[in-house]
Amino acid sequence: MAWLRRLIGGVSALFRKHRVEQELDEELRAYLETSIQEKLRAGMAHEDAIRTARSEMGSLEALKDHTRDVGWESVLESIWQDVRYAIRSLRKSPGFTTVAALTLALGIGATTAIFSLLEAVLLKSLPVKNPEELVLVGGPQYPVFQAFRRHTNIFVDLCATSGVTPLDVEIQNGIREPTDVSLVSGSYFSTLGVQSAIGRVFTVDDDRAPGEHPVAVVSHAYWQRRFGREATILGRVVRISGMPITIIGVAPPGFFGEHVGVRPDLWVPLAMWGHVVPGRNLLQSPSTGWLQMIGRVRPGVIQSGAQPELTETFRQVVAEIFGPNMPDDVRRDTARATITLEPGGKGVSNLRAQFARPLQLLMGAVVLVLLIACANIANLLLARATTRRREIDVRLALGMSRGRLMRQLLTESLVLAALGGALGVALAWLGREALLRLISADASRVPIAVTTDARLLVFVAVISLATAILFGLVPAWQSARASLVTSLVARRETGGRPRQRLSSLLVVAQVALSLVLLMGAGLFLRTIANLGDVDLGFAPQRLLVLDVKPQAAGYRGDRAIALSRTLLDRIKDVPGVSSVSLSEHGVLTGTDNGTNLMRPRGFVAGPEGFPHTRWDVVGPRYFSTIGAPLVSGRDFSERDGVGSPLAVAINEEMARRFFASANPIGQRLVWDVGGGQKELEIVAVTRDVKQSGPRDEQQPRFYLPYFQMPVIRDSWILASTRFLVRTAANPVALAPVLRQLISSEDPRLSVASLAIGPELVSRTLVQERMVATLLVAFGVLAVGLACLGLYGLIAYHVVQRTSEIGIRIALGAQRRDVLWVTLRQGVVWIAGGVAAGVPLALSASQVAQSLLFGLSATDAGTLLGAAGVMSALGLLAAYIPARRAARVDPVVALRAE
Amino acid sequence: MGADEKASSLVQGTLHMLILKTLALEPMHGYGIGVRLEQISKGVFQINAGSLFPALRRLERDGLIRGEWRVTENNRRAKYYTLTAPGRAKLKRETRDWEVQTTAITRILDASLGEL
Repeated sequence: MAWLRRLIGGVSALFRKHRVEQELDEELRAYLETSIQEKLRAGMAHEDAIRTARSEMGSLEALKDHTRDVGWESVLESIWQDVRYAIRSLRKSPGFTTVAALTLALGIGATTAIFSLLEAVLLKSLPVKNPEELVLVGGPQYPVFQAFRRHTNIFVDLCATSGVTPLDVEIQNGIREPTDVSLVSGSYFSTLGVQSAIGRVFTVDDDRAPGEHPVAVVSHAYWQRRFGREATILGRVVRISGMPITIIGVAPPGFFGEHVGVRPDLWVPLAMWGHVVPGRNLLQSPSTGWLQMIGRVRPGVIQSGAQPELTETFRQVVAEIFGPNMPDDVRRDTARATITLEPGGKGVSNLRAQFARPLQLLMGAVVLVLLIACANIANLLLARATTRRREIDVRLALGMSRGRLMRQLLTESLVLAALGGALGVALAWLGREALLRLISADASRVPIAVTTDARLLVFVAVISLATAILFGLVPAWQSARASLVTSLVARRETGGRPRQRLSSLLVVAQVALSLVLLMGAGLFLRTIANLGDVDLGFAPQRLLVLDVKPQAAGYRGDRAIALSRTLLDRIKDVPGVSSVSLSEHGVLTGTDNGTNLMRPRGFVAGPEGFPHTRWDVVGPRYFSTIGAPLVSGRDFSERDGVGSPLAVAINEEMARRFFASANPIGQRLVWDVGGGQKELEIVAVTRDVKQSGPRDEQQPRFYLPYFQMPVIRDSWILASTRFLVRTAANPVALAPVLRQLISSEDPRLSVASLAIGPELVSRTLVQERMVATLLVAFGVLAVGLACLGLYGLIAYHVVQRTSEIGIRIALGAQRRDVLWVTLRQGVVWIAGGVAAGVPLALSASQVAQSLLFGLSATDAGTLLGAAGVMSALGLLAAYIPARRAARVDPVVALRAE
Repeated sequence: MGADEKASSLVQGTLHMLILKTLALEPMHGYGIGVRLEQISKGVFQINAGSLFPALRRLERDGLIRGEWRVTENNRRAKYYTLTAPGRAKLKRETRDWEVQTTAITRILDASLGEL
């Protein structure tokens, strides 16, 4: 029970602190008095007795300190004392405190901001029930999903989702806007374990018969944004692609679906696909890749890896779909495919795949910035320790133990770190919005929610503590270690050798680390420049792309073709338009059709079948409109219609693949479609156009004339109809005119999205731009801190040696020599830092290799540039105090003695 | 902590035992304990305040001794320490352990080849 007694004693001592203290005082006084009396009785003189008794007892304060230290409560007590003392002493030097806290705030703030992003994108689980039980299931076809639902031995529940499609939604009469809609199976919400905030969510009964469940669940954010949190939202009818849909519920706040980085506004049952999504009805097609299956597995089911049972089901389903005439390529692919389960608790994310590496890289960079900041503060503390030498010596002389002194100095660092941490969190919070905007292609929509949670707070606490130890330990240890006698006697000594060596080392390290960051920034700036220089194969300037969805307004087949013809004619006549065409996939959308059944007649298939090719459907004058020069042959025109021979244009890569050096113009391609075979004549060879961005590898691609599509594939429905408009002047001014024109043709038509060429190009560079922007920011911060460190240290030396410099000048030293002697110190540090930084930068930059474009991670020019910038700025930072040294007035300097 | 070199030359923990023993004879204030120890040890142990007070604090904290304010023979107030029951038991235990150890150590130091 001893511990209990100690606990009670300690707690009561904390409360009776004053009395305990008094009692100790009294007891010691009594001791001293008795001691004096004994000595008097032994015959000592009064004065001697007092002096002897005092000296026998030693320092009263130290004695009390040691006695107090016995109880644990005294530890708490003295920590609080230290904290108060630290705050007092920091307040006494506001300049130092401000600089140190701001430096720390920048470091901690940047680190926290990047970490919060990293957490949201990479680490966080979906906001659903027991996310660890969720798995992502391969084999994404609708019939496969239905078959898999029967495997109840594996899945407690299984759902499918289409991801997000922008659809035309009309809330009130006349007000329509493209809205992100996700089509999900009836089991979606139950699988994820998500309840509604208002109304109800879908059940399996909401997703049975195609077209018979016109209901929707809206997201909490959408409810807020578009319905002003109306309580009467249930039962409201909205029109999605013209189809009336009733809202039956609101999803809980914070629920964004399964896709990190995408936030649907509305969820609609999958069975409604054919009625709300224009274009092909994918539910009835064997198309793959549009459906994501998510399952909640039974306990004990392996969370990842191949599932032979599901693979078997998958093959059966595919065999049923195609029946006896399964195409060879499907047979081959199906035989090879295996169905796997992957852990799905963190959801699906393109964002994750896209940003994982850049974010890890940036995290590394920002930690470097933090290290540089720490080095700066350590140097400030070292300088401060020198100016506080006397205070520390006095306290040591008064009997403070060195351990206690160290603890006190560390407490000061901790208080400083806490201050910096708090400011840093505020900074991170402010910077978060800007960061999110950097990673989202479309500035108006922020794709992920970054929230402050326990993990983030722990991170901030740990990082603040780590920095405090990092920058505080060495100065504290040095102060406490210093020999009392030498420093009391020689207290005018300038700093002392070890401190100077340590400070120099810290400055050299700062320069080296800054060089690493500068190198990174340089590499990414050049990557951006290189990507900007890439020939995309078309001319994005003065090009407008309008995504019109005629299917949404009910246009099908011949009517859709007639509409396109009318719109092409009307747009052509708009003043300022120099040329117009259309295409299914447009430019830089990253989407395409694909086939591996198009080849020259007589081409022999390899073991993998015919080469895979991509294709698009394009209108007359397509290539001249997008500004893609033809290598040979002619552009499509109105001539390529239903009555004329089937034409096809192929790109250079396809020509190389199939015809090597022979001239392909006039050659014939055959295409197996719908059980038959079509023959097309090559009329043009086009440049390779980059379809998803400057990093695109060249791929074989062919183009079919829009007006011949009914002959080539009679059931083909375009996924979208994009009008491409080349303008004579500023395309932005034409945008509203064209919108107006489209809805004047038919008020039910709407433009789902409108983009101008350069904007499309810039969207493909989001990731690189984010990394480059942040690395440049970090690089500037790092160099700034390093220069501040250099400046501070040299300025400090100058101040310490003012009188020495004054004497030298009085004795006839040239000012130029004084300048050089001071500057030389800086030059040595910068040279040392650069020399240490070069190998560091070369090895660190390897990490970024996969993100770079058009240059190597060890690019010599960039390294030279970074070293040059670092040296120049460093020299400038060293020059300012050096010049001050050279201007020292010997009279003033000596009088100051 | 150069202040208590004498005490640290005592075997670790022995000071506590000696204080307990002193108080087992009669209740005593801080200065008296120091004087008594010096007397009994014939000046071998000089206990200064720097080691005495932390030791008293620790013993009191552990409930082995109890302090109360009384008036001294010189009509002054002083804090007198008394042995508690656990303190008495502890002293008994420690004395026994000490005897066993010292006997053993003496035996080792006195050992000659003939006895083996």
